[in-house]
Amino acid sequence: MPIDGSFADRVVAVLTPLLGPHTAKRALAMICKKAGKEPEQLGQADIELAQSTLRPMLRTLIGNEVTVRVLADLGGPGGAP
Amino acid sequence: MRAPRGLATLTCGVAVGGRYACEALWGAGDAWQRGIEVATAIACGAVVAEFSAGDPPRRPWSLLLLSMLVVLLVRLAAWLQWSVAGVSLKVGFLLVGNVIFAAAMLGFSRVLGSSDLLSERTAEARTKAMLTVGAIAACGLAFIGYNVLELIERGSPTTREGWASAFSSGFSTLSDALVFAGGLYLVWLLRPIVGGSIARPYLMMAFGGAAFLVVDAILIGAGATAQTDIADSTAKLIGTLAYSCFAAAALVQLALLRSGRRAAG
Repeated sequence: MPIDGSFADRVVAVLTPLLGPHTAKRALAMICKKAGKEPEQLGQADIELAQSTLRPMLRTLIGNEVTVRVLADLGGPGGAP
Repeated sequence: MRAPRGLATLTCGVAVGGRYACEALWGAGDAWQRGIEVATAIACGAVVAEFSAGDPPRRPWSLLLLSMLVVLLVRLAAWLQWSVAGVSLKVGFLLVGNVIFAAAMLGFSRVLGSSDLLSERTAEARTKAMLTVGAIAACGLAFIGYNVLELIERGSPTTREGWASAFSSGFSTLSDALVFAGGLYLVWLLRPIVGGSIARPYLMMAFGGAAFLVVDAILIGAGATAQTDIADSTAKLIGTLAYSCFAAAALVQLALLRSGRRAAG
């Protein structure tokens, strides 16, 4: 899923179809809080942190297999646990 | 990663329209309904099979599958007129099915509430949730009270089967009130993700839970125990709608899981 723009935009774009726009932004805020950064400061280096933040929450809602796919869409090595 | 738009509406439309047409054309509405019940159980089974063993949603989906299988036993027991010590086994299966069904709905609420993305952590939000659930519970109790009054007005049952049927009717109402409350709680939990694919199966379940409660109210009015005991065609169509909502929930969930698997493959 190639998505242009910043990493924060990509997080929101990947999560919105599943979680809706409101909660996709909330998930981004949770990643920012954990990283101690503003959304525009997030980059490729934060992919693993984003994946580890989102994995347990998404797995609870949709199971492991879809979670792995969603996290892989964020980029990086994939969402495998 | 989306379920096809309109899948839920199409499922419910085909189920309810099919029942109406079968009844009008061939007087075979009940046979169609049995088919919908079997299809609902198969769809729930497919969802259970699609989730991995350790996935949190798998357990409540398994309970929902089990309750749908018990519904099939209820129909079989009614058809074959199974009974033990003068009491129809249909009543016993109905009780067991209702317990499992209510447990499934509570299980869905528990699983969804445990995700940090949905659960409310503030004291104010918790208070609001408790007030909402409390109000729903009060409505459920009022409904059960009404049910008991209705039973008293009709006079005490005189046979063992009559008592079993009366008890089953009251218990079924309690269970459906729980399912309805669980459904409303699901809607409340899911409101932040309405618009996202994940919410759609659970919204269908909430709608189905409400339809089951409406059927229960009609059953009470008719003095009946199970949907097979009523003659009112509107009630039967609402019953079909209730089951088809759960079938739609399972199909949407299945489509969502399979689209994720295909994308990963």
